[in-house]
Amino acid sequence: MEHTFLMTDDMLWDYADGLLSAADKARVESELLQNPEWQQRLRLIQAEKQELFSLPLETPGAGFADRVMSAWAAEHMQARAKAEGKDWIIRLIALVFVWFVLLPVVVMLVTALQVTPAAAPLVNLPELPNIPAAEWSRRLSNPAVTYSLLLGLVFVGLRFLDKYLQHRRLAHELGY
Amino acid sequence: MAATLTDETLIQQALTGRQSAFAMLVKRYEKYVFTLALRFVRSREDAHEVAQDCFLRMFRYMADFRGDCKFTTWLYKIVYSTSLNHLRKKNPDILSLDDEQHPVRIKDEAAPDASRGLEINDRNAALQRAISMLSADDSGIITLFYLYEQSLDEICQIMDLSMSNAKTKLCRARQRLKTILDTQFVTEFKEF
Repeated sequence: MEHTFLMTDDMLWDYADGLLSAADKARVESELLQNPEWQQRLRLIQAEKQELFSLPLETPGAGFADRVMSAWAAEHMQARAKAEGKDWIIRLIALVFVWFVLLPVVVMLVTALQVTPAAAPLVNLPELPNIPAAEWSRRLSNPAVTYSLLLGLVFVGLRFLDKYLQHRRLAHELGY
Repeated sequence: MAATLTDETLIQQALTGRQSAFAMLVKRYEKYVFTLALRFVRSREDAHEVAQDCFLRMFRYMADFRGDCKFTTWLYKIVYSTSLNHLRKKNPDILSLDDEQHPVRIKDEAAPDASRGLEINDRNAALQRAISMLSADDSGIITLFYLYEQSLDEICQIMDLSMSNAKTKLCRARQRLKTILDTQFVTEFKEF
């Protein structure tokens, strides 16, 4: 049984919109070749489509973009303030931590300053030349310097931790 | 200079906190977002609110945009879901923009009655009026397909539709538009 193909306006629109299957597209094209009326109708559809494509867009009210930017800035500030509001927890932890590190360091410093130098040797040895490496080695062996460095590193570490946690909270607030 | 920057570049810059990049994206798409929002929510006042919300959501979720689809498709999906949420807030019974039992014509500012005697000599204006007289779902799909040149596949992503459903909806929207033009704008569109 031969399949009869019935051309409709909708089919022609679908053809113009590129929505037909390959088989239907071929049938429509064959029909178009035989029927000048459908050709005329297709031209009209294409013109109508062109009108739809070229419709002007609606313009939002004056200052719309500025209002969006203000709302964005406000939201950004709010998220930041919210993130900073919880910083007291971090600061408290840092304070407790620093206190427990600082206290032993201060004790060590005081102890190191109170240590009396060893008695001078009986034999006068020739003075060593001033070698920079030896200088640094002597300085680093001083407990005061060691603990100061340790303290500095603890501060830097805590600062990094604080920044990282702030960043994470802000990112969470902004939905990253 | 701003016009030469691609959407992807602007997104990257906006993500690093550059406010000017975000402002450029807003400027570039404000009309598109506003027009689509207006088609869905039917009131200029609500469309302003929805469009603003869309841009804020765009920024919030920008880092999630992986480039799997076009930026515009992703943005229009935000417009669609924001509009739907906005309408649901106003009327919790609305399940979708195609809900026949709860038509979404809350305010009809954007769709004035054609018989009001307004002088519509311009075919463009008449066509725009006719589109705004369609249901939110119909005018949305017509706008996305013809005006924004989104493919049917992209419309499926934006409106969460299956391909056959999207095709049927587009065809039905086109027929309804034709009916409105034939009945209410006879003089402007004799042969649409």
